[in-house]
Amino acid sequence: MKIKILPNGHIEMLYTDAIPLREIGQVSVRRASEVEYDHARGGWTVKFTSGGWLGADGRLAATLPAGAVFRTRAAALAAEVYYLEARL
Amino acid sequence: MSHFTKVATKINDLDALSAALDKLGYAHERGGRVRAWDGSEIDAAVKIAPPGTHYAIGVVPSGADADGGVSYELVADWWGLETTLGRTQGAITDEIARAYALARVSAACEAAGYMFEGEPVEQADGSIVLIATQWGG
Repeated sequence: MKIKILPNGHIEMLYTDAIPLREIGQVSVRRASEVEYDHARGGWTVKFTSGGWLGADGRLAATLPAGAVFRTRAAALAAEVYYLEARL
Repeated sequence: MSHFTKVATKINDLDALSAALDKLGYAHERGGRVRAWDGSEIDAAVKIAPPGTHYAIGVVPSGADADGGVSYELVADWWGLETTLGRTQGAITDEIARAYALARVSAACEAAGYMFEGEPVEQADGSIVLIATQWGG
C-alpha cells in the first residue's frame, strides 16, 4: 500500500478500508479503473477511467490489445494496483 | 477495481500531534496561552514553541466536526514568527501539517497490522512516500 503525504499534509492513495481514513480527515474518492471479465477473450481486463487499458505487460494501451487479459482476477487487480500506485 | 482517494487531513489527534512535534524538534506543552495576530491572548489546547523565536503557536479548536469530534487549527502572531524565523506562515503550517499527517497515518497503519518497508522517502516536491505491507503479506 503506497501512501503519499503532500507538502500541505493532505494524503493521496488508493482507497482502503484497512485504515480509518474518515477519522484522519475529509475524504474524497473517485473511481480509477474497472476490472471486468471479458467473455470473448476468456480473461480479466483492466480499463482506466482516464482512458486506456492495461496490457498484460503492465503497459498502457489506447485500445484493448489481443493479449490484454489476465488469467485470474487476482492477477488483474494486482497489476492494476501496481500500475496506479506507481503514478501516485 | 481501485479508487483514487484524497484525504484533507484534519488535526484531531493531539497525541499524534505531539509525536509529530517531537520529530520536528518543537518544544510543546498541553494548555497555555498564546498571542494571536491581533495581540489578543487565547487559551490553547497545545502551545508550540518553535526553536529560534520567542513567538509561540497555539493549537485551538476550530469547531465540531460533522461526526461530533473536535478539529484544531494553528493560530499565532504570524508576522512575529515570519520575521523571526525567516519563513512564511504557509511554510510553517505546512511543515507541522505534513509531520502530523505522517504520524497520524503511521499510527493508523500500525494499528491495522501494517509494517513499513524502510523509512519514509521525501520526494523532490516535498511530499513523503510510505510503503506499507501487512504482516504476513
